[in-house]
Parts: sequence; structure tokens; C-alpha cells
Amino acid sequence: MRIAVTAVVAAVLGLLSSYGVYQAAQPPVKQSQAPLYDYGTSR
Amino acid sequence: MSVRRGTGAARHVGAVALGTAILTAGVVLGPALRPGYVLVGDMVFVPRLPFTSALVGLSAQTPRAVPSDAVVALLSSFLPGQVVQKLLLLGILVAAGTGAAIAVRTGALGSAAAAVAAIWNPYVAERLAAGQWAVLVGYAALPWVVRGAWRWAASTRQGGVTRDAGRWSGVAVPVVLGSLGGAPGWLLVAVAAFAGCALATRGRLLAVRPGLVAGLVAVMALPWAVPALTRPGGTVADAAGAVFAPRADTPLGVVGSLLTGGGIWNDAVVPAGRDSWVGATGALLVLLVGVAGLLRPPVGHAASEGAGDDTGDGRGGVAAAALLAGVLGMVIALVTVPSSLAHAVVGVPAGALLRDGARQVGPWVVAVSIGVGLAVDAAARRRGPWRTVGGVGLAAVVALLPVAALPSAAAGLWGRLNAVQYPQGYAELAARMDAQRSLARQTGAPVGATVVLPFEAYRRYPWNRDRPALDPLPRWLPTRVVASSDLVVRRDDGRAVRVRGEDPFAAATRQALMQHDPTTALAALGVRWVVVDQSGAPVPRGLVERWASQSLRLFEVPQVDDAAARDPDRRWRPKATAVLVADALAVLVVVATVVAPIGASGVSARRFCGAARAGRRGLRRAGLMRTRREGPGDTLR
Repeated sequence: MRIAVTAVVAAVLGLLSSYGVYQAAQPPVKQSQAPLYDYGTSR
Repeated sequence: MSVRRGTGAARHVGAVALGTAILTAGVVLGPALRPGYVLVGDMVFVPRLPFTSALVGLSAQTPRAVPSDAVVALLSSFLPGQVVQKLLLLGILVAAGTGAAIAVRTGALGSAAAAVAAIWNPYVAERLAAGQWAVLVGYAALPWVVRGAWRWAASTRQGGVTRDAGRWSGVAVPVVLGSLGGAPGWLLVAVAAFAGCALATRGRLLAVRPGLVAGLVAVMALPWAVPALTRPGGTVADAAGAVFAPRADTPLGVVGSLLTGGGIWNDAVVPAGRDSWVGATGALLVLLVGVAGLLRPPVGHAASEGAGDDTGDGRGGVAAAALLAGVLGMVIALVTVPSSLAHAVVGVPAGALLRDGARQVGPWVVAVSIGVGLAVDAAARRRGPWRTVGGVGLAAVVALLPVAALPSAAAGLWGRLNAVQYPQGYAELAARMDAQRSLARQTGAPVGATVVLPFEAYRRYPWNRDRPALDPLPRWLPTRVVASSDLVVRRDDGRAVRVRGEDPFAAATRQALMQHDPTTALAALGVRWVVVDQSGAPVPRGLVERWASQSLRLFEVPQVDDAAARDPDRRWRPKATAVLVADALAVLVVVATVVAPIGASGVSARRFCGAARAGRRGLRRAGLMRTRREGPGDTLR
């Protein structure tokens, strides 16, 4: 039982981290009209 | 015998916590620790920050970097700036992780989990990406302040003066160190100190011990509060600063984003993946585990028994104090969420303290991190809900939950914190300006102020990978550099919001640059030098070019007003007497309450100096420090 729960939780964390790595590895969106002097962006 | 065993176990847990914190901080910072400077957002370090009166708030600028820049100037007077930056970043994260790990004594796995959670979270990632290292100074002090304040306020004189001095140092040292981050760090520290004292005394805050803590916290605000309050015209932020109110950076809404440690206004610094449902689910899992750990009644532990807390309910008390601090911080953050309240808050004197309300969730993040440690400890020891499924294996997996929920925080936030080298022209310009200043001192001529064009606070230099960062020249050049204090925020629709700064000298300079004859207007303000750091930027007519490199051009303003150039800040500077008295009082209190007890602990000055010399030798061998300082360079042509 304990081993099964541990394996399931580990698998969930593996999936979470895989998706996060995939997202992080995406190239940043180029903003062609980004001003040179902005402090940040806000919705 | 049991006491020795307890002490040994506590040391083992402490070593595990420290090791985990160093490892986690190293993975998060990654390329930021390579040679070079990390220039992102508000974080700008230069080879050597010169000592100027602005470092203590004696200029027209708002004292936002007081006293953090003074600390950097002090450190960079005997260490290279890039080493200072790396030591500060590493020290901040390690202190945060270690503090959360030992705030509530658990087993080794629980303390390691708390350390990971306190370092590897959206709050730290977003503040690092925004370059707000001074906010993180206050964040790193939080767990230490909560624990120290609770222990100090809960204790009696039992154990004698020596033990009492030790308990006082336990709260005084982190209060002082956390306050070195300036106003934002101080506010976090104040919340933590209040929560620790309030819970330990069950609300009797007028007693002597909470009063001493409150007095120390108040004194630590003086270095930035006095210049801010005594400036001619005071300090009232632009109401447009409501643009810095918390925003949803997850699909969980603003409240959900704040509860999971994020909610920063700036979309550009949100870690990759956090805005997705998968990332939000991971953040929610961390939150649930942390809250479950905090709400679980504390259980006895070998590591704490005999060596740890002053009273029987020490672990529960500190955890509850951390939770109270977290709730208080969350309430402050939520107050700034509605736009009407955000406008009202930032438009009143000292209201800028609450600007960027999401940074007030720091205590909540620390509380959740402590809760994660408690939950992992319970899982490892198969207590409570973990009785049937718990075990060391599951506890180790749960300890890695913060990493799995936000993998993009690894490797310097996935490259966002890469270190870069300044173009050669910067050092050359600084050397030339230094030579010019020396020449002016010899001849009695006024040095004058320097303006950097384009007149904007932030830059996206190609050599800095187009990351927005503060202009480094105001910190690098030895003269008074006038920089814009306006903040330009881009909205989703492409519209730009300009939040006016509070520096009246900068506002006057902006007006001068908009005049028909800007050169004459600049001369009247005492501006003698103009540096242009973007190719193609327009240069006012009438300036005389004195020097140029690939990245920079230096111009001299003819016929500068001598009186204005001798003291360009004279019209807007706060009263020097008030500021210096406040600084002296703060230094005296720090010496009396912090340095003296540490000095009594046996760390001799000779031993400290020997260690410093050995450190410098090591840096020279590693190539991070020059064998002699760069000379003043050629005189101006």
C-alpha cells in the first residue's frame, strides 16, 4: 500500500515537473514593439 | 545523557538544513554565480559603488535604496562588486532556507523540506526575476525574526543574563539584518516581529520585552524614514502606482495567486508554466500540504527535546506565530488588490510602502514552507493522516513537491539570471569621470551633475540580452548622476503607463530637456556632463563631445552655473542634521544591541581580519579580483 501510494505521488510529481520543464523550454515570445525603457508589463 | 543526544540530533538536523539550503540556492541561482554581473530589473551591481551622500538619503532622490546601497558600497570597498552580488544572493537564499528549516524543530527530512520550500517558490522566483534582492533580504530574515521574537517575548529571566542576552540576540540580529533591505524589507520584518511578540505574550504587547523589540524595529526604520519625511515637499507617490497592485499570475485568480506565493503585478517576471492549470495545480498542492502541516498539532521530537525550545509548546508557538505573520501579510496584500483601495493607498504619504502589495505575502510563503516541513516530518514518522501510507520514501517525494510544481525556477530561473560582463566603455568612462573629479577638487572647480540620455530609468541593452534593468551609471559614476525616477509600465493593449517618480531634481531635468534650448536649461541646473548610452539617441544641440566608446558617448555642457554645479541637490535635499542624527542613533542602537553581544561571544577582530585576508587571496587566485585597483585613466581631451 505504502509503496503504491509513494509511486503514484512520485508519478504525479514527475508529470508536473515534465510539463513545467516543457513550458520553460519554449522560446520566449518576441515582442517586436517592446519599448526599450519599460519597467515591466501588466494586464 | 538525553540532553547530549538531543543536542547531537539538533546539530545533525541543522547541518542537513544548511546543506539543503546551500544546494537548493545553488540550483536556483545557477548561472548567476558565474563570473559577471546579474543585471535584471531593480538589481544593478557595479564593480565598486562609490560612497556618496545619496547612500544615506542626502539627495533629491527618494531613499528607496537606503540603507541597502550603503551596505553594498561598504562591502564593495574591499570585495569586487560581482563577488558582493553573488555572496548577497547566495546568503539571502541560504538564510531563508535555513531559517525556515530550523524555525520549528523537526527531523532531518522535515527541515530539508522546509528549506527547499522557502527557497524554491514563486515568491522568491518572481522577486529575483524583478531584481528585488532588497525585498528578499527582509524575506530571508522572516523565519529568524518570528522564532527570535517568540522566544524572546515568551521567555522569563530564568537562565540568567547570559541566556537572556542570547535570546535577545536571536531577535535583534535578524531584525537588524532584515531591515538592511530598506523600507520593503523592514515592513516584512515588522510584521514578523509583531506576530512573534503578540502570540508569545497573548496580545500583551505593552510589556517590556515586546516593547524592546518594537523599539528596535522603530529605530531600524529611521535611516530611510527620516530622509523620506524631511525632504522638501515630503514623499507622496503618484497614484498611477496603483498599476503595481497584485494581479493573477495563475488561473486561480488574484487571491489564489497570492495564496500560492505569487500575484506580482509584472507579467514579465512570472516563471514559465505558472500561468497554466498544471502549474497552478502544483502550486495548490504545495499550499495544501503546507497548510495541513501548520494546522496539525505539533508532536514531540528527539531533535528538539532537551536542546531546543524554552517552553513545552515552543514548536507549536513558533509555527502559530509564523502563521499569524503570514495572515497579517496576506491581509496587507489583499488591501491593495481593489483598484480604488490601491489608488487610495499609494496616494498618501508613505503609501508607497504598500505599493506592489504582492510582496507582503512573504510571511505567508515562509509560514507555508514551515508547514511543508511539518507535514513531511509527520509523513516520515507516520503520524496523523500519514499513519497508513506514510514513510521515509513518501516523505522524500513530498519534500520535492515545490521543485516539481515550479521546475522553471532552476538554473537561474531558466537563464533569466545569467551573468554578463559590462562593455569596456563603462569602466573607461568611470575612470575618466573619477579623474575629472580629482582635477576639479585640485582646481576648486565644481564637478557638476551628470545626466544619462535617453532620460529613462530602465534600459534593455543588447549586451544584457535585452532584459530590462536599471541604468547602471548612477551607481557607477563618482559624480551626482541624475536619472529619471519615472517608471514606464506596458499594458497588454500596448499602452504605456508612466508612473511619475518622486525625485524633483529628475523632474526638473526632464523639464529642462523638453525646453527649446535644453543645453542652457541643463547648465542652469548645474548639469555639467551628459552621457548617451544608446546609439541613435538624440543629443541636445550645443553640447561638446569629450569622449566616445562603442557603447557610450560623453558630452560637456558649456557655461554651467557654478553655484548650482557645486551642489546640484541643494534645493531638494532633506535636512542633513536630522538625517545624520537618525543614522547615528540607528548605528548606536545596533552597536549596543547586536554587535556588543556578538563581540562577547569570542569572535575576535584579529580572527575576522585574518579570514578576510585569506578570502581576498582566494579571490585573486580565482581571477575574480584584480591585484591592484584600476588607475584613474587619462584626463579628458
